[in-house]
Amino acid sequence: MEHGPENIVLMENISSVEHFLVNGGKSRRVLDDINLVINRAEEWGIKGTSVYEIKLLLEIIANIRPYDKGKCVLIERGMMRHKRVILKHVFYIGSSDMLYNNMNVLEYLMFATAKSKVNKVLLQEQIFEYLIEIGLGHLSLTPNHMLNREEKAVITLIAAAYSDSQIIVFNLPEYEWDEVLIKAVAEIAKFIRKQEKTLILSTQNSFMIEKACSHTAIIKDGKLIYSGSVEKLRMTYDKIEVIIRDKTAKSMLEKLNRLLPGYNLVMKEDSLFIRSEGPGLNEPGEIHKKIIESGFIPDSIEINPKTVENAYEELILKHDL
Amino acid sequence: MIYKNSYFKKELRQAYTENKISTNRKIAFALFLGLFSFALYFVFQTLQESVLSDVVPEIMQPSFFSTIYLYIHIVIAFIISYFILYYDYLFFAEIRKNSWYLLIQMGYNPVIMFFSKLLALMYTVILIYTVGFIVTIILTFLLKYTFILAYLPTLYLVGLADLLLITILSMTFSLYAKTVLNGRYWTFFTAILVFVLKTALGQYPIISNRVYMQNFSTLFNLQLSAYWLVGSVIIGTCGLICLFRSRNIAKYYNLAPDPDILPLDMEIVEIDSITGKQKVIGNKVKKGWRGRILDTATTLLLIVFICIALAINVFVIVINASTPGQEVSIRGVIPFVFSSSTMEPEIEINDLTYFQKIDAQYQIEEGQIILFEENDLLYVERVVSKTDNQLIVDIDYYPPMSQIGAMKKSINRQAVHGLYSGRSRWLGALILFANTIVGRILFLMVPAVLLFYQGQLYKYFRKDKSI
Repeated sequence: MEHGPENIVLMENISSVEHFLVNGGKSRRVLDDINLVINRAEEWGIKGTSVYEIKLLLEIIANIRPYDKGKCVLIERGMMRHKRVILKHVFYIGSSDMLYNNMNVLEYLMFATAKSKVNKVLLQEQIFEYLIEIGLGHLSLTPNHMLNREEKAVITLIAAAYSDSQIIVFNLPEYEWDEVLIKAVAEIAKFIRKQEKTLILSTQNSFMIEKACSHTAIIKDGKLIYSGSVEKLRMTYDKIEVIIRDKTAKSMLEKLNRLLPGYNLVMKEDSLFIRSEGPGLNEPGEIHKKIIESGFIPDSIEINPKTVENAYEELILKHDL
Repeated sequence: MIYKNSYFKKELRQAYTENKISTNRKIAFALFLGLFSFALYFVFQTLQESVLSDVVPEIMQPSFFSTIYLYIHIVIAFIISYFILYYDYLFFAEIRKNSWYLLIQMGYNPVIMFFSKLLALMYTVILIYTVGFIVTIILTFLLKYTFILAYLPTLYLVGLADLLLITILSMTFSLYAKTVLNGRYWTFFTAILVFVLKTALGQYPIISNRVYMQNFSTLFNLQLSAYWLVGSVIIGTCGLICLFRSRNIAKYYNLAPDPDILPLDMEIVEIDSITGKQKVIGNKVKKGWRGRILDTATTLLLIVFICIALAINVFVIVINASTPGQEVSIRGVIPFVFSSSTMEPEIEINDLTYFQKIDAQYQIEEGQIILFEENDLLYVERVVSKTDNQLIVDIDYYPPMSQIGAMKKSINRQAVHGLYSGRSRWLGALILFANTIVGRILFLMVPAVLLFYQGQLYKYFRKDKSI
């Protein structure tokens, strides 16, 4: 495996050519002043309030669309003047129509990787085992035309993982993912990382970012409001400490509010979320103790595992205020 | 099983998931084409005594020439349908879908892919055409017509050349069509283009002439027609265009418009930062207007077809319901299918004739053709002389060896129902066809099925479109 520079994507003050034109003629850039650095062997998940915005960002990264201002460098090479031109170092997946419908999954992957020097018997065995390993063994002999668009996209991603491209851009933010496919994408992301390649994916699914990505970037109203590790996002922005599930939790809300000053209590259906309002209050053990002491024994009480979804909501809320 | 598909093998497989199935289907398709041509020949034989014998004698004759001539035209119609149906697999639509993008990234060479695709499609067309051609010849042997080998190679070449021209033109157009739907229209257009080219360059009079077709070199005689020269130039040019164009567009990722991701009630514009000029590039509201126009046009066409088919049926029923004394008249005109050659050349066999209904006071002149009733039967004859209340009538055409004037007779003026005012040879042929089994199926069963199952059909095509 050849080792190139560590800096895979470098975006400085990028602004898009595209503008949103709201009723009344007011316009704003779809993307404005974007700064982003992506390093080798990282898996990035890009999420945002607008599917169009995040899709456009990844199109700019993959040299599919031009940008108006700023500087964008891919693997220390400047952007091509010709847009959409095939770049050997970037594998772009912007739709799931690339597969041939007259083949099954395993056959297609064998066909796509046919130019590799590996022995065909070994290669097929390897791909078949890999499909089983990532939880898609049941699809291996399914004809491509019977797959849904998300499954097709994942099969395309597997083919891309076997390519020589250093950057794989998986730009399908409008797709809806189930747990099986998220697990598969997470496994493929690991495989890509092992080969020292970089995966950049766009999605609206926080769970996908949590499972498959090491880093994330969040865009709101055309501006980048977060870029960094997924871990840091979860720990910094998910303020929910404890989740209580009980049908009578609502009746206890007032009492618990008095018991837990400095915490914000929010009811959602039968669940009560206890958020810390300031630093130094994140002690789930302390909260648990106070609740039990009050005589209220809920059906379930759990420490919040800190999710990307909560952190994302918190971050968006913060920027709305 | 170890999968070791090359791009050429993948192309040969076309829409099917296995190479063997694909080959079997191609052979089955060729057999069907041969059988269909043969069946159609029989349908035309039932219309032997109609205008078709004068207009297209080349398909009405009892000879190998007619069955083969019919086959080489039928095969074009069906190959075009095949191209339209499997457009996604046969042509360059896959480049637009970025299938080549993925393969190029994986190390495939676009030039080799182009030649593989071209050769595989040509091979398929030649295989289907040749097998169908042989099947048609074998079936024609059953009719015990005189076998003349001389025109068979020439006819084979004529059909093959048309198919290769249509194939390469369709391939070329598919490189410029941005959507599959447009590509399918273009494929249909290529058949029309080849038909126009053949008509304009005088190819039809040559290929429909049995004597010309016995000489292979006649096809290439530029004094007779430049079709082969023009066709060869088109094939060569299209081949080069395909090569360079496919290689060129395969260099780029194709960005398809995706209206689903556009925000509601918002337009996306490109603004030039220097000039400030705005260019609208996306708008959710505009989505689907072309689709709606197409849906409306398809529905209208379907309605028109059903209406025409039903009108023909009503017309046939009305004419068949005519009995002496109770002739059906439409605004004073009695339509009547004349099934005899006794009035040739004025009226030919199976012509639809029109008779003006007349009353008892109308003065019939000598030389006029009349429709009259005698012994509960209707006759059409010419008035040769007349007295006060009697008309002497006779037929125009006596077969050879028969006695001229044998059919001359005297009829009462009261027996006259109508006066001949004109004829239509084509409508006569249409009625003749509508009375055959195939005609009944086409004009009665097909519209009936369309009428009762239009909902299901509409749903099926909507589903297909969404795919």
